[in-house]
Amino acid sequence: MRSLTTAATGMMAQQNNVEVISNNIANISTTGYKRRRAEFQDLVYQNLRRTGSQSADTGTVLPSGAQIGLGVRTAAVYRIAEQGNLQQTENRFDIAIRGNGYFQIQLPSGETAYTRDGTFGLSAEGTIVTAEGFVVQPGITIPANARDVTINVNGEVLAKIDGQVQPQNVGQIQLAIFANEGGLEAIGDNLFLATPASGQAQQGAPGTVGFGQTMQGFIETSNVNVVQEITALITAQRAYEMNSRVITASDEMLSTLTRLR
Amino acid sequence: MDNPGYIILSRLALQQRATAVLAHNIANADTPGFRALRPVFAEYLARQQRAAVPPGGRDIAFVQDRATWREMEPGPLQPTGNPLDLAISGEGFFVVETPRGERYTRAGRFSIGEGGRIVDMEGHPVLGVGGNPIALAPNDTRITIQGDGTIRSENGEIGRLGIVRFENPQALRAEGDRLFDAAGEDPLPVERPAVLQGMVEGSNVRPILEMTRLTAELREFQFAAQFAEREGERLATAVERILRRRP
Repeated sequence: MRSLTTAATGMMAQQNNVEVISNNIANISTTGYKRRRAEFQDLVYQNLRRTGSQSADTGTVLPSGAQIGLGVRTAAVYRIAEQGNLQQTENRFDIAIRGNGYFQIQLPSGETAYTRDGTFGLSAEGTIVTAEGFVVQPGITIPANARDVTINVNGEVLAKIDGQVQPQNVGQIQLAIFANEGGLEAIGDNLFLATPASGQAQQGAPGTVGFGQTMQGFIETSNVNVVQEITALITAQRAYEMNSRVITASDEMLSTLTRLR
Repeated sequence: MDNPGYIILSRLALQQRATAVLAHNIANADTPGFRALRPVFAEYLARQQRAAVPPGGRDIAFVQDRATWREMEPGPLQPTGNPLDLAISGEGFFVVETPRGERYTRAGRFSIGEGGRIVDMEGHPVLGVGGNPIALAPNDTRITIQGDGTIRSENGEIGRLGIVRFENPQALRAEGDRLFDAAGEDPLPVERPAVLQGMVEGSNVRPILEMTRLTAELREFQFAAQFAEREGERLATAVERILRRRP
């Protein structure tokens, strides 16, 4: 019976769906996390073309043959790149992006990774680095004698140095934007890599056309919405149940057959 | 002589296939751009053999699932916020190029593939009005798609999505991966397409209907099976009585 295996593919797909939802819920307080959604696709079809479908003895001729699909599969899991909430932390090196863009991070391998998680700090040399100690591009070093640091909406890092009236501009944080953010590859630790699907990174200063602004003292929370996830979870669970009902019904049909005398 | 048995057998076999179609619908209740299928039952008349057709004699009717019907009403629109998620409001299909030829889809979950081309989830290029793939330049970052399918970025117009319709959408053959094969139908351009950006069209399967049908089908199957059983009993009794009457 085809309906048994078809319903089984439906259950597997919904199980994937629940896995994605649970990952979202687990990351509800991960800074800069973007929620994900599982995406499904129909499986191949069997074309049962019977000669009867060509004849016209009942009047209507249906030009299509009989098609029976074989179920569903998970096609992709994609990210929804909505802006998360901004949360104030008062930490000098916590930077959130309001709007489009990613911070560029130099990985130890020499590659550039992208992130929206702006919980930064200073390295031993005074360079702005991520929580893992990777340098935030373009590698801004705060002078050791700086008393205070201000980062404005354009990403300019202004250090107030003892004995100087004017704050000193020590560098400007650069952001990267992509034509298709959904195509970025997540590598964990809130980091992403560019792929052919995301398009090439385009660099620019925060606050210019097309780029978001940097907000000092804020972090971007995850864009997971509990209510949405719970409703998605309920839907997935019910869909799972419906598929299992199909299995029960098919099983009942089979058992009716075997009980035939 | 035992026509009723065969007739009810045609019904049982068909009911199983009908359940397979229903299972496929339920499994795809969450597949973007999916169209629910319905089996179409028809009687298949057979002339009774050897009967001299006495007055009142009739043809017997087997049941047959002649075809599957595709429900073409649109599914619900789900906002996603991705610039390359597109939905068509009203009729029409997007055109994608596969190694097997042009295919048509309602699921506008597109992204950027090799060489900046707009591609579907399987990497097939999405075709524009002239039948050519649409490619974005590396410096196109803010993509807006207008209602008529025109794609623009900050650097000007890039192209226009080809949206086609069919005289008889029932003739389309589903191929899986959300694609339809034209199966000999000619694609016609849609005069005034309405493309919505940042939305995806969901599946048009309505779970309540499907579950009700499932229950109904199960009961019909059991009813038919019971009928087959009774028919068997009737035959057995008939044979038994005939044997008993023998001198």
